[in-house]
Amino acid sequence: MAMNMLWFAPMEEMSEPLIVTENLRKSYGDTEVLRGIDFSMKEGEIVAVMGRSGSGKTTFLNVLGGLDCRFKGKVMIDGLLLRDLPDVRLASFRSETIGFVFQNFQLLPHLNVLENIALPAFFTDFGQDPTSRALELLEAVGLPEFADSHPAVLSAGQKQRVAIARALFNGPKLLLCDEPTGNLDSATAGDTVSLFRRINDEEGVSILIVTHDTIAARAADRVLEMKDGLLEEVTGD
Amino acid sequence: MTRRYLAFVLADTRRNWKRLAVSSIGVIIGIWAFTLFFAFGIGLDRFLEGQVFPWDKIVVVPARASMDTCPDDDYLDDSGTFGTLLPFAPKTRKFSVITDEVVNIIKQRPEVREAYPKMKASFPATLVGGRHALSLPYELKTVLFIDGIPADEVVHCSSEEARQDMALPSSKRRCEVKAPYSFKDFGKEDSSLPSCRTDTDCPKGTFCAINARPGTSTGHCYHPIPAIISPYLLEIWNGSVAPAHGYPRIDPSSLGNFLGLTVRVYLGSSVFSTMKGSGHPIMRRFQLVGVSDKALDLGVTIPMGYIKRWSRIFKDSGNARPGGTPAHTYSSLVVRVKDKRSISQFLAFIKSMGLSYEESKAETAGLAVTIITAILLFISIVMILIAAINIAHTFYTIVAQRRREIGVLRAIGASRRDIAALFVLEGTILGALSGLLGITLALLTSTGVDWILASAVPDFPFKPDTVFSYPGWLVVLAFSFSVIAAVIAAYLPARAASAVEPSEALSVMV
Repeated sequence: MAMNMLWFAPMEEMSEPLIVTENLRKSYGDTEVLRGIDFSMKEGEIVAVMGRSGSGKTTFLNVLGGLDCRFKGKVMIDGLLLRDLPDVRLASFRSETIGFVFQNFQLLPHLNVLENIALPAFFTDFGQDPTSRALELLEAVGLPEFADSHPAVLSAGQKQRVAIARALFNGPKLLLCDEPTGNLDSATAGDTVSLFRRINDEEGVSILIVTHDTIAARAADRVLEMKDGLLEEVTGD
Repeated sequence: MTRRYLAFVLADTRRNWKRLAVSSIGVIIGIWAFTLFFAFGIGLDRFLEGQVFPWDKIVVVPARASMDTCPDDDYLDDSGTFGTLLPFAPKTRKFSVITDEVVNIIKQRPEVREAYPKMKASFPATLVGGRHALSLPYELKTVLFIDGIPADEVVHCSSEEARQDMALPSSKRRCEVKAPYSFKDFGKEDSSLPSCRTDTDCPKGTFCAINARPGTSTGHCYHPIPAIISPYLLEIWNGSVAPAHGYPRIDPSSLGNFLGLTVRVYLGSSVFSTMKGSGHPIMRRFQLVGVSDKALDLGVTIPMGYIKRWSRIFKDSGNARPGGTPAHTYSSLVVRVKDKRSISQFLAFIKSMGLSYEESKAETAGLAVTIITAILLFISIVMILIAAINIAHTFYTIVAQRRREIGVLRAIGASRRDIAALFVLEGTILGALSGLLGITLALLTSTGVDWILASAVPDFPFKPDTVFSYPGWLVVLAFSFSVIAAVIAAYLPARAASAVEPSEALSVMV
């Protein structure tokens, strides 16, 4: 099945920034983790943020994804200012605009693969049949035979593919990936990165990957490094 | 939205069913106890007030000389404290005895459904008979208590009416005396009957009564005097006397072979004392014609005309009991009120008339049942509360263990409200299932108790078929109570779960 039939996020003008942060600051107690980040990312880009553990990469990702709203400065995603949004609005923003991919996959063990992929449909008014949509995505990530299996029987790479399918369920504009290859061997990590690249190439889904894995970073259009709470450009286009 | 929640929650409940089942045992037991105790309280209360001590029955009696009398004032203020302040407040006339005027006043009260006077016999009486009916080698001889009520107060039924009446549940039957019998004062007819020496000298349906006067060999023909007995007396007979002495039981609905039974009664004769004055006992035959709750509890009730005439005879002859009812006044007035709530208002009116009333056993029994029920309900409510705390604890544990999962759900689009709703819905399902199970167990338990009561407990007076009552509102109340307790128990953990920031929940795994 052609990828462009599946990732139905609309292709838009590539020039408009999808993410804009200005003087983004975030502290845990007295420790300032993000120290005034100015960052922008265009639609259709793949950006990798590298850095050591504890450098603030995940905190940065959480803020951008609307998972943590206790920050200072400006954060605008797809034209929406994230600060002071009511919880319900923030939840629908996460549902409609963002897809999350986690290092540990975070599949629910009591649900089968198909139910895990269709999980977002529990909390949104999903127009079409969630099961058929989940089946399409499962085919797209190459695991149609595992529809009724439970996560426990899948390999790490298969779990991550299922997690990516779940992240794409609502047709997001932006994938936020937190160490997506952290639990994968190098071959599987390479496959996963290729999958990201395909998603981006064919549908223009923007992808921000925080990682310390160079394989994952290789797929990016831009690579930044998080250092002392600030982002520094490592490589250009 | 709820349907989607439900699908998610059901999947989740399946995952945690063992833990949830264990924590819901407390609620099931609590609801079981609550429903069973409540049903027992209602059932017992209804049984006592309905059959043993009818709640709507008030016996008005003349006030004793030391009670409620104001000799200097024939009128008593009927309007309480304010009445004393208002010069035109209505006043109620006071009465020291129950006369026809009192009966008429009370019958017109809005609280009253039915009222009829009673007149106790002011003379002793002895019953002799029962040899054939009870298959005894001798005649029974016992003291007989007698009172009288107006003959037209007893419900008579034709054969057809009686047949239809028997088809109704016992609580709805109205017929008290059925054809061919009647509860009637035959005084006038008797005066035209002939003299006699034996029963064969008398017309059919009458008998020859020869008074126990020395040297008397001739008497007069009389109709047997119709007598009714109370269901209470039948219960005592069937529950205690018959089993203890091996006598046959009496069918309470038809009276069986005892219907129409005649016995000799010696009026003015006492088994305890000898005759006083110059009077002699009068012999009459009483015939059992029906059962009515208007009858004397431990004795027989006959048409009041007989009592009036005999009271005059025995008063003149000096054989009347001291303190007996004069022939022109009544010993009591039985009132059936329409509504339980109007009882206190009616009793206040009775007192304002200078009259009194017999202490209501229903009130005392009802109070005792209420207190016992309240204690049992308190215990069951405490059980439910403890169970609710247990459920809350379980949910807190589940919330703690599913912290990551909650983070994931928040990340894919669940709002705080969604997360709270999931847990509350899980609590609702838990409460509903526990409630249904608890109520079902209570119904099964009461069926078992009733079965044991019927099959293993020996008969006793007023032995009930069931001591439980399950009105619809009780089932709804117990079910709601279960759901509310579980929802409240789930609500606090649900709030705690929804309050967790997604990034914090996810940080557990990062």
